[in-house]
Amino acid sequence: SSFQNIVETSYGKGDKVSPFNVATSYNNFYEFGYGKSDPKDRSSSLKTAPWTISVEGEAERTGVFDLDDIINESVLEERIYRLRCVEAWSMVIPWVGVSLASVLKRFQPTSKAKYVYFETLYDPKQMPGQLGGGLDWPYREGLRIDEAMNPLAFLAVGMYGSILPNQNGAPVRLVLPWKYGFKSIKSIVKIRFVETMPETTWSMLAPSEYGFYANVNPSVDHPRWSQQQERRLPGGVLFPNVIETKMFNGYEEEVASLYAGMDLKRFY
Amino acid sequence: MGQYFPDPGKLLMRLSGIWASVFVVAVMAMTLIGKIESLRFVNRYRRFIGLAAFFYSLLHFIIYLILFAGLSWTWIASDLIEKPYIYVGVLALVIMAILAVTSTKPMMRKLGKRWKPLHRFMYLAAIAILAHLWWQVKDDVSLAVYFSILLTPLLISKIPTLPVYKHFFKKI
Repeated sequence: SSFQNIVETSYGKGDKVSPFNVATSYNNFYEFGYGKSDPKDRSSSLKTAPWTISVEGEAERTGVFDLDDIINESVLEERIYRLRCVEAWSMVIPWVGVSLASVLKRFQPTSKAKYVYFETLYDPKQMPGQLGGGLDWPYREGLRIDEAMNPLAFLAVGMYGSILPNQNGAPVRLVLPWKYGFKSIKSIVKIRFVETMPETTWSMLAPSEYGFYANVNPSVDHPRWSQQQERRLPGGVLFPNVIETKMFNGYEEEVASLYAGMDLKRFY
Repeated sequence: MGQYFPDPGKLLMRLSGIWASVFVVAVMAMTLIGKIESLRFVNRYRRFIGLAAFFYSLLHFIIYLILFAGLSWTWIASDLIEKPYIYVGVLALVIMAILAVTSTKPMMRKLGKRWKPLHRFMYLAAIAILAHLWWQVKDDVSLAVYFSILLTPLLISKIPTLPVYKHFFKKI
């Protein structure tokens, strides 16, 4: 299950990669329970092959595609990205996948495609957490089309050189390192090109706390977590590694232009 | 160790908070149970349980400061100033600290008639604890629900003894 010939990239130079055990045992994936270790303990019921993705909406090529036909394994890259959770903890993870833009372009979105909407699998038999209330299932996320086409946006099928473990969003997930972790939707089964801003799970639940953009921004506070600093996991034995949170999680150079002229305090 | 416990501070903070709340429920339940003639003996342990509630709350706060916030002043200051669930938690802790200090025999003697009204502030602390739990819910309400189920009847049982209602309830 490990990939051959992964192309290395320069992303993540200078960041210390979090241990595999940490990245695979401390997850927010409410489809498998609320606890951080629930996804690891309870996600073996998820069947990740065969896997299809339904591509819909404002694009020339739509339909149901096999994941293997969407991701060309011969061009996989490794990108080491910082992951910043809205709960004020963070990790550094080496993802394996392709740029999101390279995949989306193949469906030839039309000029009406202003946004891209994504959906996670809905199947309570495989995802027992969906039996409970809490979130409005299926999990939904979305991006403005220019955000989705930004070279930093990544579609991951693996991490640490191998296929994604179920608890990390197998078999395919988004990775958007300049946004809070909840934007990086897992176990994707639907991609829809749309004209208007789609509703997204967390901002449906609490619009005053979670916005559509959800860019990492130390100057916009969350009602429960200060966003000025973060705890980089794993923590030490006695002290957590508290570090300063950077604008756009340190990816300002790559993505700041997407939001030129926008009031990010309003569009959080 | 970090490999297997990625976030020990958060884990310990949660556990100490749960234990603090359990002792708060216990001490308030004992007040009620101790009124029953045959169960009077529980009153002897009430002080001990009350102190346990305070010490676990203090431990919870210390774990927050050191193991969770890493003594980062930026982190702690913004929590204390801006986050309502933090300051209701601190309110509960301050109340319990005052009650702990005044829980000794000499202090009871010194305060006389004022001791009982002072120690009724435990009910305010319990309300603050419920607010502390509800205000921090992200999506999982289980802890807040469990402690609401345990504490609400105990809080309601105290309404007849509130000065405003005392007169009314005596009549009926």
